[in-house]
Amino acid sequence: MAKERNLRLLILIMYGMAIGHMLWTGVIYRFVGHSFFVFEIGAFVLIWLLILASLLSFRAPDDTKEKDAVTAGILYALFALPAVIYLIAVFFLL
Amino acid sequence: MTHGAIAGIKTRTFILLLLIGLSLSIVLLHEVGWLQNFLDANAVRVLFQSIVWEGIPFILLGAFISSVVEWSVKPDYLVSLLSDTWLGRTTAGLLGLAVPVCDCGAVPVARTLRRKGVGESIAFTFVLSTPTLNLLALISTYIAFHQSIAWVFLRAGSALIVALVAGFLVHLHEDSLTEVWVTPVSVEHDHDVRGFRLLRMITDHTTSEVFAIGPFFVASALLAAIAQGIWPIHAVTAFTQHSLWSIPLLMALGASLSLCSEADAFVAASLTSLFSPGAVLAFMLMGQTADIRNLLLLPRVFGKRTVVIGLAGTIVLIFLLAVAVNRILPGGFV
Repeated sequence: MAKERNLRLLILIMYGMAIGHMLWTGVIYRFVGHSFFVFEIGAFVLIWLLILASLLSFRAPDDTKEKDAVTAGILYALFALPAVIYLIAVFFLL
Repeated sequence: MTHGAIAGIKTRTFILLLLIGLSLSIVLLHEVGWLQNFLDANAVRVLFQSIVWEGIPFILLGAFISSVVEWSVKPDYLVSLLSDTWLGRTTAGLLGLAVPVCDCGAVPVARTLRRKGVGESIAFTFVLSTPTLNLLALISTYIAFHQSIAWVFLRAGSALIVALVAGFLVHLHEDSLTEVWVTPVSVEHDHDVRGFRLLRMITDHTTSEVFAIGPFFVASALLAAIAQGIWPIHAVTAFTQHSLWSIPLLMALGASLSLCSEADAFVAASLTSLFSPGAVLAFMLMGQTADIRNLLLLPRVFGKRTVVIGLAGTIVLIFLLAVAVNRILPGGFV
């Protein structure tokens, strides 16, 4: 569904912003140490590639499979949690 | 065909929410002053963020590489390698090193192999070993366990032993298998897709994989962090470090969480301070073999008897390996 795709895109953008901000400010080292630097760069590039591809896929056919909306909603909320926590902390609390 | 990551989604979500709810109740008790000495809220927050931000790159990269393989490697290449011999069995066990499909992708690939005529026991070995014995899972294990090559070999070796022995157990009963593989054949992918359309297929598949795996990873990280922060360490270590009792506990947790093989090492590594090494190993092995997802998916590819024999053998083997690790690593039973 288009709304679900929008939601996915929004969550991806939040992750992209969070990882980008952590790399830019160096906060990432506090969480994961220096050995992860290459993987975090890879994740940053890949997530923005997925965002770009999601933007270009807006005209793709809709997924017509039946889904349990409550379970799906809980899972989207769970997945968004770390990025939301980080962005709220950075832009509103600090 | 049900996508691997979607199988058992309600049960797994329910279990995770139940465990998190339980943990948060204890946090509440702490807030009213009952558990003040046991909870370090700041440690929970930092640990949660560390597990998540360490694991997310591997989920993304794993999903992307799996998608590339899914859309670009033709199943015929794999089938020609897998004969019904020990060489074929070992090749099936090690194929994940060349074809890095994660646990969500292994079952659909095994289904294709069966459809192409690969033996039941060979395909079963492939399904059990590939999620663990692939490069991304091994690299993530290496990093999650603080560059410990010993944990990489321990995990890879154990997974290979379990897969080969379970596959052989299935092979012993293969002649008496009367069930015929009847899953309807369907064309899932058009491997002739090229150019921009192929890139779009790969990125769409990657996004779906990430959203299918990610929530369970985040919830497990939250659970692991809360568990580390709230459990009264001195009270529970007698149980969690016990050489025998700790193993079924983490086996059950690994089976019910069904974490992705690229991410489970980060959760497992965070449990090493609390649980015995054998139990942590059992957590990782169970999550990739006899978990809820496989319980639901394997009957769609293999006969019932194969699933029962194979998974029962797998569970016993994992327990025995974990006991052996607890006996050898600390230098004796605790």
